[in-house]
Amino acid sequence: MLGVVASPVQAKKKLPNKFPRVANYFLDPQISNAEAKELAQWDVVILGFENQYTSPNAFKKMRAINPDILILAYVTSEEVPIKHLKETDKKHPVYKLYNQLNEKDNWFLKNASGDYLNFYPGTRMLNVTTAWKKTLPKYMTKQVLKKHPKKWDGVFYDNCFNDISWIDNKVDVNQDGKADSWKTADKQWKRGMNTIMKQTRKRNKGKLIICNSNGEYYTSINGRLIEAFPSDFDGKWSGSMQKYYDVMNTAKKPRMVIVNTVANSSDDSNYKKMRYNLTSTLMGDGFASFDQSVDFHASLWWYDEYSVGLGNPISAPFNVDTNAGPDDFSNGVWRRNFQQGIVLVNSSNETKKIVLEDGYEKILGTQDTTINNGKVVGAVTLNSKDGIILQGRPTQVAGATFTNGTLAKVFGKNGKMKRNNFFTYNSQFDGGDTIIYLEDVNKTVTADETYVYVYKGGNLLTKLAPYGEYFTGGVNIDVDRLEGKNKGYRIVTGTQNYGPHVRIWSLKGKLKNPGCFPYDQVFGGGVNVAIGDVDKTNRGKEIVVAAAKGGGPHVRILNYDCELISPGFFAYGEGMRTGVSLAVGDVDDDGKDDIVTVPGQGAASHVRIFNSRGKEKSSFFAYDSSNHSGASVAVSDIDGNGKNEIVVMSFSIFNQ
Amino acid sequence: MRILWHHTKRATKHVSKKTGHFLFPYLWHYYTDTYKGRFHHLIVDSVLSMMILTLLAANVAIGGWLYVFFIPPEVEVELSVPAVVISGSNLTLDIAYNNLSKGVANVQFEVLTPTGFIATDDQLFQTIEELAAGEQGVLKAKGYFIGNVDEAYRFIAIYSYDYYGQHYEQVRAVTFTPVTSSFEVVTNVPDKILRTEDVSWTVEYVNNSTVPRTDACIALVIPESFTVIESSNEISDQNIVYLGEVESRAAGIITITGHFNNAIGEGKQVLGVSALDDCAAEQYVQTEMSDPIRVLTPRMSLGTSGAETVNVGTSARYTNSYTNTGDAPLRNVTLVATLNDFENRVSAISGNGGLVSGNTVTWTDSEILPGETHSQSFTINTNPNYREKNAEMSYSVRATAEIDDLGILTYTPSIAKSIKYNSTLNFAVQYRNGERVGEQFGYGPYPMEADNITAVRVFWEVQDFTNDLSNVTIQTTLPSQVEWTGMASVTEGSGVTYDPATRKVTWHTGSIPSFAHPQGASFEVRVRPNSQQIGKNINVTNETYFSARDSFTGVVLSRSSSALRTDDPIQPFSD
Repeated sequence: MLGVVASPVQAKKKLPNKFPRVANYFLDPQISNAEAKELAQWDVVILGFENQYTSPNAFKKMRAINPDILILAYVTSEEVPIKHLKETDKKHPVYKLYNQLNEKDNWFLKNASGDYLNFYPGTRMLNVTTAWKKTLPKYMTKQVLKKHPKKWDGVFYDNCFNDISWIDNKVDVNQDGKADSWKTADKQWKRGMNTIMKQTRKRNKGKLIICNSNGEYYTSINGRLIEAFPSDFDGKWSGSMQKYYDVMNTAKKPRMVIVNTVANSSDDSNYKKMRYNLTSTLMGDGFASFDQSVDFHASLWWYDEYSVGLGNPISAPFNVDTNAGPDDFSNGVWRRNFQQGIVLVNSSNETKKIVLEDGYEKILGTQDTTINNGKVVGAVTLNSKDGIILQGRPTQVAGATFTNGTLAKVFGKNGKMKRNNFFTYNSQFDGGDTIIYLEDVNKTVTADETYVYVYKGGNLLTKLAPYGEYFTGGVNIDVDRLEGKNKGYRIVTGTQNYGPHVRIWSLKGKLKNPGCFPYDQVFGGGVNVAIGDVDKTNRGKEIVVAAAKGGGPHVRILNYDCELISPGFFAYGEGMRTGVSLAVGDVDDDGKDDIVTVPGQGAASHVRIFNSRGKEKSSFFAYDSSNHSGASVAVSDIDGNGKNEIVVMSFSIFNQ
Repeated sequence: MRILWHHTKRATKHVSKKTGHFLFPYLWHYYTDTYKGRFHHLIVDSVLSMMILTLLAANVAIGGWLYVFFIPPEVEVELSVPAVVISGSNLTLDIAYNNLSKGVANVQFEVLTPTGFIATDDQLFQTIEELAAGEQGVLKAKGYFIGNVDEAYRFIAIYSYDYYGQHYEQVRAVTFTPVTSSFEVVTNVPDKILRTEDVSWTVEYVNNSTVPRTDACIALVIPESFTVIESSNEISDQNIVYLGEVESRAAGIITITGHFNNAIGEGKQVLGVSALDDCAAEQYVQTEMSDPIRVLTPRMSLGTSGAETVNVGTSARYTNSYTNTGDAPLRNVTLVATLNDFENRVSAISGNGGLVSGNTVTWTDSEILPGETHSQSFTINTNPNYREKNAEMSYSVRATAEIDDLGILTYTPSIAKSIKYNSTLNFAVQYRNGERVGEQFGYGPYPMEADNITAVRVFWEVQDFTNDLSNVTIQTTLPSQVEWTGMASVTEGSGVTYDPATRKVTWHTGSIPSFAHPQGASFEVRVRPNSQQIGKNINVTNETYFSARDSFTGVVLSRSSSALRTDDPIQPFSD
């Protein structure tokens, strides 16, 4: 019977462009939906290859939540769990791969006495110089990677030993009934393993292949998993780090190293050990993994540090005392700088105090709150074998409109402070300018009293006067990718004064829609604008508007043709005339964009979160309710952790 | 009774016989006679009767002819106009007719109008086909009239009618005189003026008519001693201002500035004006008016001095000096200073001997001799709570005095002074550390410790400024133990700069609009006190200087703030 024809090779997946990178080594024969939902948080998940049969929905669930997730199929390359030989379900992948071994005894690795050899309890070693060396890659290709291309992004071969003579002094690799010399055994073993790797690579060019071994096969594979880091076997921390770096320098690109540390306990609160793993991993570009034990890789332990967005590394690791680089991972305090913070790890046996040149912000965590207390620090004290992630203090509200030079407060949906206050400021632009930075296209759009400017870096690409050269009432902007016939990045402009006129422009300054007046033209105030997909229809994003200073709190929703599609709602009492600042974004992680409002100058900074029908989801006061200085609001992923926060900005230098 | 009846019967019978016999003898005789020739008699009598009847008819006809042709019909016509006729206004001529005797036909009225009457309908020639005896009525001729005021004008009505082929024609007239005009002028000049002063002469005109006045002019009566310096309308050599058409209900004003260059003494001059209509042709004189003005010789000079700009919450003194520049003593000198737009801006006015009443301060001086100078002053306290953009007030001062030998009240020209309010300004310098998690502005131990780094955020805040500020600069220097971290932000303008060579921190921005929210800059510094400073408060920044130009008053506003010092003494190193 012919097998199902595999679909074409899936497009090569990129490694996540974020740090920290985390992996979960999760070997569980059956994965529930709840587990899948949690597993979706990790960047890389290693699942048993049998899960494609036992838990097919788990893959869909994980990819739906995290489209960028990388899922690797776990399989042992040179051993078989004995229990797998007893599998009777003929459809089961385990049966399909291993049942044939019951009839091919010569595929097992034996010694000269004919004894089965094993390395790990409950398993039996296979002889990779036999046909197994082709059977395994063929199976993994046809029955796993190509048969289920939407499930798997690659394969993780556990235990890819570089040699085998160590397993038994009478090992008989060539099956001649005599003990092989160690040299012969190792040479043949390595050749067999190389065949497995090369065959797998040859058949799966776009897939990730990693092993649990040292780096003998890196010309074919993308990296390795370092288990139980840092191990004495690998030379403790220094040796392990050196091996980690060796892989990062020699493996086939894209290079993937998963640095796994085990707690050797079912208690997930060994935060120090987790941090040691994570911060050590962050000295390179690998993926940190922390779970229970080498015997039980099936933990769903998520830590505050995993949610931090550090951006990309901007330096190599260096020893803070000696300034040595990664060529010499001697014990001490090591540091690596990232776009959004720094990472420190103390591999020495002493407690160390590190004085930092600048102030950094500790994570405001919920687990080890003695460490992750949210404080801004200029020095930290690190215990031996511990590490810490410190966040840089933000100066911009990424991906959202903000006013240059204000004090920003960062909240969760219920008003819980998520980050320390910070001052929004981009020194390239004047204080008071309205700014939005589009990270994905590296462009900055700004607005002043008359003009809207589009920059790429320091180069001015576009300058437009959306309401004419003589208009000096101030321009409000939001920029986002609109869908439908106006598809593409669009600048939606509103006015701060002199009439509520909304217009739509391209980034090149071409008028895409002459606009509309969502409020009475007689109204002399302006209109604040925000873009988002608030109604979750297939019509794409909407433009949500609210009257600016002097106007009532009437929020209305327009489509991308600037046509009113919802009469809207009153965010506050109808008599209020402070205008309303608003932003749109998913702040409660329900997959739908919310409308976040705050009154302007003259009213308390009462932040309210609505759905598109005006139903309040939550609310809080950003400042004391007696403070009527006013505020503006943005929705942005300040942490860089993929979840939005509510950023409330002062109107002046600060509101307190 | 029977006798009476009998005689009546006989008399009636006799009269009947005689009348019948008289009128119709041939029939009488023919029926009453029995003789033979009675038929012949009948013929003769009939002929005779015919002749008699013919004669009778002829007499009757002659009588009728006489009635028709020798007794003429009598139609009476009266003309009338309103008792008050206004030139330029509507005017209706009433033509009242009354047929007193016999019916007439083809009655025609033709009205001859005076020059200046413009008919507004077609009723100057009217016809009545039949006018019965005793019939009466009123015809109207409507229009409007423009003519000289107080000059007599006349309507003439010619009317005619026909009667049995006879045509009769008669004439009636009515005379009227416009008593005034709807084109009115009013002239206005001061009662008195100093010879050195320019005279502001205004002539207001209005066309109250329902119709436009075409070709309207105003004739000015200008004394020879008066020289026109400037006029809103061109004045011809004949002192005529040509207005052209003045729309109905339209008004205008002519302003003329001039001076009396040859007037001497304290004499009176007269400036007059008269409105002319149709001035290019008829020049109907409408209303006239004249205004006398006394031209005085200057005998006093006046000056005032004091600050041109003030700050809220301060006081300012203004001194007014007056000098007798004439050759005669001046008595009962009264000096009045009038403050304008002072409400809310000023909390108190002190007259320093003058009488303060409302917005005026009045001083009296019994005498000032020729050549003497006297002074009076007042003080204002500006309202410390007043906040308004570009606030400004002013005062004017004027003096009056009696000329000793003439008994005439002379005066000085009013002089005025403007007082602008400098912007209020609150400039604050502070630093913050903020220990509360989430609201930290710095880091490190606080209170600061020796040999330990504490970072704080320094804030420069400018607020409560009422006028636009330009060229704003704030500057300080950092003490030696303080480092610049580069973390800074501004709410307006370009960023804060730091010069490591001079250790100067500077924020400069071109402008800050008034009534904006508080503006400012903030920056972070790292402070590392040394052990010598333990127990002392140290400087975070040295003295801070603020300067900005008030865009309204032009005054450079300066503020300074003393060195920013730590709140608490430096502590020993604790870690």
